[in-house]
Amino acid sequence: MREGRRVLLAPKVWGLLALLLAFNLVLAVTQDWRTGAYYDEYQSALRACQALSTEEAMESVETELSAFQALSLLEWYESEEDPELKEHLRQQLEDSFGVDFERRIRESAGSEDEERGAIRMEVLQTLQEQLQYIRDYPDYLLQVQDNAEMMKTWEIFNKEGGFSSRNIEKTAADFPTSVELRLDNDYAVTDLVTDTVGSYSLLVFTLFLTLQFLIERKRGLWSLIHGAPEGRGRLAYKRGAILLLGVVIGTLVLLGGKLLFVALRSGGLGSLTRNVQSTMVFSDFPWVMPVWVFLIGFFLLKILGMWLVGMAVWAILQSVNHLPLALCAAGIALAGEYALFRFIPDSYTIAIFRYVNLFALVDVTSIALHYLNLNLFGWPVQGFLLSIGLIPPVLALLFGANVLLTAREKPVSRQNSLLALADRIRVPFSRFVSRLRLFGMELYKILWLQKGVLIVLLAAAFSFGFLEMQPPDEELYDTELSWISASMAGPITEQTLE
Amino acid sequence: MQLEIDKLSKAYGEKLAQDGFTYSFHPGVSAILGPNGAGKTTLMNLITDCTKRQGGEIRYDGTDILKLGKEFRQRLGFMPQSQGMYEQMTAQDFLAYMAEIKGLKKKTAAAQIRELLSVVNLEKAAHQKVGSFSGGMRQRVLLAQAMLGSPEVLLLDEPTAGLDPEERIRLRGYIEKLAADRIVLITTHITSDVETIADEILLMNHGKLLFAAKRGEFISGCGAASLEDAYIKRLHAL
Ligand SMILES: Nc1ncnc2c1ncn2[C@@H]1O[C@H](COP(=O)(O)OP(=O)(O)OP(=O)(O)O)[C@@H](O)[C@H]1O
Ligand SMILES: [Mg+2]
Repeated sequence: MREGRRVLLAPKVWGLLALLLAFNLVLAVTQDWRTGAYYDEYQSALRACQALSTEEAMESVETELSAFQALSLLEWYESEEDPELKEHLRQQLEDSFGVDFERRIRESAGSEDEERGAIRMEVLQTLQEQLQYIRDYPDYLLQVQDNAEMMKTWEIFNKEGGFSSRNIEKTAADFPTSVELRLDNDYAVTDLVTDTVGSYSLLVFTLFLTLQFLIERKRGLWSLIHGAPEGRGRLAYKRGAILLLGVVIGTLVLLGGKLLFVALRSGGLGSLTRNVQSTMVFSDFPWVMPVWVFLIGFFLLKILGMWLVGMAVWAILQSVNHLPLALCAAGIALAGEYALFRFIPDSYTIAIFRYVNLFALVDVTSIALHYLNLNLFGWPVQGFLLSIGLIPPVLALLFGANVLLTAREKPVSRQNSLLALADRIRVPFSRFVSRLRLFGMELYKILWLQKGVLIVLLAAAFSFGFLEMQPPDEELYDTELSWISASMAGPITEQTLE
Repeated sequence: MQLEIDKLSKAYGEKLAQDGFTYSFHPGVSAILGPNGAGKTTLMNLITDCTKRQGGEIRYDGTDILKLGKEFRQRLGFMPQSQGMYEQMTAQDFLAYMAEIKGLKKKTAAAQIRELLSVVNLEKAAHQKVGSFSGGMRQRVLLAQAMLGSPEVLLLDEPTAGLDPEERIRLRGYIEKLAADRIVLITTHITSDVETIADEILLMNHGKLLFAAKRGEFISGCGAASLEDAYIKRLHAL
């Protein structure tokens, strides 16, 4: 298949893929404040906890944490300058640890150096959070069932046949009543399902692939291909398959590569047989399944979803018989879809357009991990299921549309009426451009004629997304401080306020 | 083997690019002459079904080519006026690519490509990227591409534009050989290129066929000394 070779073996396609992967990996390193030492410490503490029951592990973690807490309090006491506050702190320490609190606290905290101590505390806090989640999840599930029972007794919800009552019943039925959870290393899985940069990188790659199908529209070449026996419907079938293959490669390299990288960095994927609900981000995911099943489903869904997005964009690009205009049309369509996806709140009836949306497939985990039933003519339909249920029929439709468009669109046609209008506008505009000085002209050439503007926009979009996604890092770096002040704030401020 | 054009009409907006063109082409070289914008390229685009027809018919052996579809396109070779190609491919790769799009079997394709590369004198450059070629070399690759699959109908839109004299003479000889058992349509502004090889000459302007005759008659019928002379005379006499 020469067409496949042309598209998939093109140096620029691989170049882009390599660039995107590098970008993602660099981001993975720079955005993660945790070090190798942290992950080593986490691994060993995790193993210790796994050997215990949840309750025991919880207790051991909390005991050690309170020693750290006491030490922090002691250090605060020692460095406090305000005599009044210092006295309060002393009182507190004495109340909890006796008169010789200084010696006792130092003893129980051990003699770790400061840096290791900080890491150890981070690790313990992470484990504490995980353990708390595992301990509380059964209650959470019970609560879902209880809520359903309770709401049934309320009159407004109990109207037989109404959306609300059906929704409550469905929610209770969708969620399991109990799931076996296991404490394990969740970093890699969590990163995989929350990584939007990876998803959008894959989108960029897919869009680039579809653009390869339009190179023939350069004048002349298109006529050659369209005039050839196999240059119509048959070619479109091949291109559909090539796009799928390209998306498979892109998904495996970008998302698979990143998963592998994060797993290697953070100490593995954890047990593949534990239920996904063991990971906190899956608390609202109603289907119980082991991690390995989820991973397979995830990659399949990503691939199918991206294929669909690629086919949709290709169809748009094909249906406008003028390349720059076609690019504009595709850009506008994608921007519109993105706006719908980003800005419609759940409670609106048009929330359905967030789920019947290309970006629901681009960022599929964000809807998979968010349980929401849409009101479809009074019947609750789970948004995520609607999104993925639509994939097969829409794909079939798009495939047909693309084959038809490839077969029917003629390389030579009457000038687009929009362009005719643009021509009339261009005359005074080009007069203006010709008056620009050399610098302006060069800028105009780079930004407009050579499409540099696209690169600028892409970079802007990326950095914008980057800024937005960055977790409040300062807070993480200073967890120690904020945690201490949070846990101490209550009692002390009360007293100091008096 | 007969390609009939019957009252063809095609307009781009208000501009008539084909206005009732009617003619029957038979095996041999038919040269189509006419000033810029006469509608020569449009005629070829209509025969390759690369643009929508508004009226009239194009029949191959009695059946409309739109009805024949792929079957007709299998018998068609086309060299466009513009020089678009996949710049990253080598000449050899591009020909192999076109052979696949034309539905040729791999083996037949390989043999034909070898032969055609030598016909257009590009054997040495076969493994260089098309993007690095000169205008004349690109022209020759496109010509080779048109002849892949030894089509019964060969449409050459200004095939000699940009070729050096030596290559032009080579090409002329090759086309003459080819034309024995196929319909070859050539448009050109270089009258000397078809002066010796064309069996018949068509003159068109404003989308209409003005005059068509055997080469000898086309020239001597109006008392001209050369084809160029005849072209000017006939174009302005009418
Ligand atoms: N895509 C198009 N949109 C609008 N008008 C067109 C288009 N293609 C051709 N035309 C017009 O149709 C007419 C015939 O054009 P055509 O290209 O067939 O001429 P030609 O005889 O091949 O000329 P040349 O000798 O310059 O190649 C011209 O007036 C041209 O402006
Ligand atoms: Mg022309």
